[in-house]
Amino acid sequence: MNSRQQKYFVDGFKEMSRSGVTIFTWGFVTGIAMAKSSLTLHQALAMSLLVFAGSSQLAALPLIAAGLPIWVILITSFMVNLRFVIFSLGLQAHFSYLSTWRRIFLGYFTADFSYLFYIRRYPKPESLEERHSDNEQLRLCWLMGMQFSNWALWQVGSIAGIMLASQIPNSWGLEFAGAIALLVIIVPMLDRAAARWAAVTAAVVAVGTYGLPFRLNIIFAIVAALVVGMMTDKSPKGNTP
Amino acid sequence: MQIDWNISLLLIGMAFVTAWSRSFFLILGERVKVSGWVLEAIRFAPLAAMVAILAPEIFLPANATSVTQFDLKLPNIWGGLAAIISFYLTRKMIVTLVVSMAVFTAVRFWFL
Repeated sequence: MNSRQQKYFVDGFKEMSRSGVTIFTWGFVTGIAMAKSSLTLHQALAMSLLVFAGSSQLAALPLIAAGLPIWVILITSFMVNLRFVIFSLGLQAHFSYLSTWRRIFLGYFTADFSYLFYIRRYPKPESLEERHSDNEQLRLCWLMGMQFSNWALWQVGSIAGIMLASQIPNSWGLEFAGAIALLVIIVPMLDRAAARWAAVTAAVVAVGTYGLPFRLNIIFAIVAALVVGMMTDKSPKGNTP
Repeated sequence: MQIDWNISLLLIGMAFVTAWSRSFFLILGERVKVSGWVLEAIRFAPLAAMVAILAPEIFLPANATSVTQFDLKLPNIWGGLAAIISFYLTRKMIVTLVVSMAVFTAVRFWFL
């Protein structure tokens, strides 16, 4: 990496680290859930390090405890991860030029926050001419800095949760603290009417369809919010919350 | 250390699922061109996803299975409202956490 690329990487790292408390808290809550499940200590650590997807880990835990077949759990994981399939459309528009392996690694490490912050800063993909003149791939460096921070904070939180689970009583309401930490990330994004309508729609639909399997309520909420967002957005095109 | 091969296989499989789902369209590389209107349409997707993950945590009890379990006695709802108000007024993460946890805990001991 040259010095400009390093600067972008460090900037990305700092950008993500500002949400550090939130990432750590969710990691911690997930770690506790793994430690209190049927997994052994080593299995819980391996799950944290390998799978790196909180919602699919949480969805898998009761299924593992119930002894369901592997393929059922894998399908569930994929269904719970469907929102990332939608995000991958956005990544595709920006990074289709990378080699196959780099694309796969880039995808693996792009969790919710990395995608959110990246697409907020760079709503539009580079045009062909821009990309040919930009041989330093500064956007990619920025994204990788964020991914590294996100990964490290998540793993530290998750492993701390696994190790400390037996010391933390259920009565502390840590899940609720995790929810509040996420709220703090969401509220500043509601700076426009269209974003607020999209958010209210997503909330109502996600709660209303909560009974669906595979956390499909998230997908229904996204689709409904996209429709409402488009209908209520009067700002010039290309602005992203 | 005893290794449970079923669990090992499952965890490796789940890691592949993470990689596959997150790079689902990205894997296709330059064979596909995502058109402008698709990008335009999905710009609220990450916001909506996060709201969709958060909202049931606030409005439904911890082990809820459906919306019918909505209950105004739920401490999450009041703690969540306190969080929105205190964050709106102060914009400080720590203040928000302290205030909302205080309300959450108070309501919990009130109703239980």
